[in-house]
Amino acid sequence: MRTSKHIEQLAGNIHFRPDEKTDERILAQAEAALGKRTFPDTKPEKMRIIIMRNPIIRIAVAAVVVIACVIGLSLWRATGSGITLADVLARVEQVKSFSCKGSFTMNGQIAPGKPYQFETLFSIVLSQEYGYKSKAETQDPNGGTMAFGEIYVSPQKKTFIQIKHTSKKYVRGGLDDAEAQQYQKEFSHYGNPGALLKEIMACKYENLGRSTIDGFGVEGFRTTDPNCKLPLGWSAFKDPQIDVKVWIDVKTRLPIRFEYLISSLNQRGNTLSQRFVVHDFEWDVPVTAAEFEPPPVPDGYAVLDNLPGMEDEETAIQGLKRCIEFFGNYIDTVGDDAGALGAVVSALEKSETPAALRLKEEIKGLTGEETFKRVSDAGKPILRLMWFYVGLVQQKKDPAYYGKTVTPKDADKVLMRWKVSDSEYRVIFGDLHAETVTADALAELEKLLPE
Amino acid sequence: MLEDRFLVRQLNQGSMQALRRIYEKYREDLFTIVVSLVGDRHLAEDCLQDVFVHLAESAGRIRIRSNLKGYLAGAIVNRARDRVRRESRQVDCPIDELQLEETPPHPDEQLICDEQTSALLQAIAGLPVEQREVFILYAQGAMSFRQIAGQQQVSIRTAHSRYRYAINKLRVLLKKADLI
Repeated sequence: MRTSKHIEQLAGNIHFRPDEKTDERILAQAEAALGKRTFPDTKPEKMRIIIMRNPIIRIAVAAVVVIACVIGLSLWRATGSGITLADVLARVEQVKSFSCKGSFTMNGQIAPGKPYQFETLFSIVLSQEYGYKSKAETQDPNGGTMAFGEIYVSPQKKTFIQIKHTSKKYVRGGLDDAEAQQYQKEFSHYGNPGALLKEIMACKYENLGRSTIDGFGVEGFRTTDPNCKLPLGWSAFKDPQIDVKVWIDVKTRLPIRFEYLISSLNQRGNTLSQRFVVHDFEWDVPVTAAEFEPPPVPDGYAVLDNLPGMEDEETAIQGLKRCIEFFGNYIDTVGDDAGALGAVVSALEKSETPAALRLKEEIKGLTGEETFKRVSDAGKPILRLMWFYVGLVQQKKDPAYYGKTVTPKDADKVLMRWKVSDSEYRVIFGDLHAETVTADALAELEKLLPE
Repeated sequence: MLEDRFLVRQLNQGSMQALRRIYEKYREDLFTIVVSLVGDRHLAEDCLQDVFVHLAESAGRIRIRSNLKGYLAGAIVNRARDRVRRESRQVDCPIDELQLEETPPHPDEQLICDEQTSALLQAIAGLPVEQREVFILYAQGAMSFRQIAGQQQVSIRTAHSRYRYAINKLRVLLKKADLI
């Protein structure tokens, strides 16, 4: 054995242990110090991120936002037909609870001849008084559907629970007063309807006239304006085609169905699309507190350990490392987590790094669904990097990311940064080492960045 | 690693259990490092206490950049440096007063090991402070040179060099004592 290794081994074999009395003394001192601490209430924001970043809740949020957006239209435009959206607005504002069903479908091609489809079916009940619950199902590889997950949020009890049946995991958490109140306040305006309304105001739309859906007389509205976006994230779509339709029940003057389709061609000419449909709305559906009681967590389920909202700097670095492995460089943007998988797939198609080639080789024998899962797993660190970044945005930590121009060779260039105090920023450099720098130093560093 | 992230998260929310678990998990590693650094059991205990009291006082705003063990190892090195400086103590290695936990199965091996360990500790004590820290953090703290460089606020190349110098000196000293 080399003497240096032998010396290291000798050193590694040395162990000293404090005696029991010392342990007790140190722990008593440390616990006393911890007992004196008061803790700023940072959890709610974190929990809010977890809830708001959850895919199933996002779908529900999108459904509610859609309603809010449809309502919002009426503030500026009448439809010119028998229905005015102002009337729809007035009615929806009176609603205390509603339920709906829907589906979210992703289609694409992970490699030539490798189409995939991923579909989630969901049902949602929202009550201003009792909270929110949703259940989702997905395709079972053996046929039919299987339980995907459940979420229960109770503003009254200030709790939430998410159970993921596919991975047999769960997470339980609390809401503080402000968050519970915010939840109720946003009951009919969950998400950011103000921003969405502005988007819709800028869109051109048409009246589709009367039709029939499931035996109900409806009046429809449609926009194909590519600027019309929902909070589901579309960064993977370049020059997308959008087709949004909303159908209003002519008798109740309430929304009855919503359809959102977005699609685009990637650089190889393959079509990527996401379809989001909400239907079977029931307004002012009778609800009881018992309905919102979460079921017990099934035996054998473990605590979820990588939810959105639990990322840190290390998570970000791991995601950036995965980018280098897969693409040989950093991805252009990290600000849109919901489009992450599409972005990963799109970049993967072009990439010829050893890791990308290995993954492409590995998925050759898999079915479309198996491929989707494998690529999702492989791209998870990148998704978590995006969660981290979006979390920084939500926490107003002044983040910035320069992956479009900074490469792994740029050891002295700022790749990503965020505020850690009034005068300091944390910086991840191109070679992925991280440092804390003053705001002035950061300004100097950012001057070095290419335009 | 995952457990550590949860522990830090819980500690940041004020969990006594998390504090206890972190202490139980890392006390031995940290104590070994600090004893090797300062060569005095009582001073090492004070350093260990400082680190955990400070950890508790920082609860709510702890941000771990790399890993918890590296964070704590870095903290205890800083404490050791401060304490030694403050108390103006010469670092020596009263090895007889230390309780060696290593217990090889055979009496002859025990003798050889203790002799080697004792000699190694004395040799480590003879290293310049910076080299001693790098060697201990690398060999006993299982920290990477990048982490050590960050802790010492030097380049990775400098951390490497310090380690190389430390190993060369230890090799000479242990050879002289006919122990390697």
